[in-house]
Amino acid sequence: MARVELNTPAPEFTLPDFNGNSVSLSDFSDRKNVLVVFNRGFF
Amino acid sequence: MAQLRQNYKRFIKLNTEIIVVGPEGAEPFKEFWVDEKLPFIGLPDPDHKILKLYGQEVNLFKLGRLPAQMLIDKSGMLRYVHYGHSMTDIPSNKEIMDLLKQHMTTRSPG
Repeated sequence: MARVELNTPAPEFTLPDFNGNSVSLSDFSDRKNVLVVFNRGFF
Repeated sequence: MAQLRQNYKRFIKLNTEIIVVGPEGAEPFKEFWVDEKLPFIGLPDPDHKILKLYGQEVNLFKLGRLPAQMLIDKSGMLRYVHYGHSMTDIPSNKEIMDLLKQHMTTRSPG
């Protein structure tokens, strides 16, 4: 599976959060850093 | 997760939002967030769209996903990429926050 590389543009994504509000990576551009945590699953 | 919750305010001070992506659907996500009182953004990704885009790996032997962390700066560039080699291979918040402090906080001039 392809991995992302350091110091390259992060792939854009848009998904609804668990309340149905759309979240895009680009929502934060020029405003905030983003820490994306890929969880191993809660259960 | 508990560790991230504890440090959430410090991440916010470092102008950093936290997005947690997981393979569960919206309902279990929501229940978990409410139960654990988590302050950050939770993105259910049952179709594995983001997970595949960022190449999170599945450990076939343990039938689970391996944890991964990415830090993206304001210009959309990946500044930290960590793919866990095991279920417990997760960098400390301190490691990530130190990186933020050193390279990614914009200080007002003067």
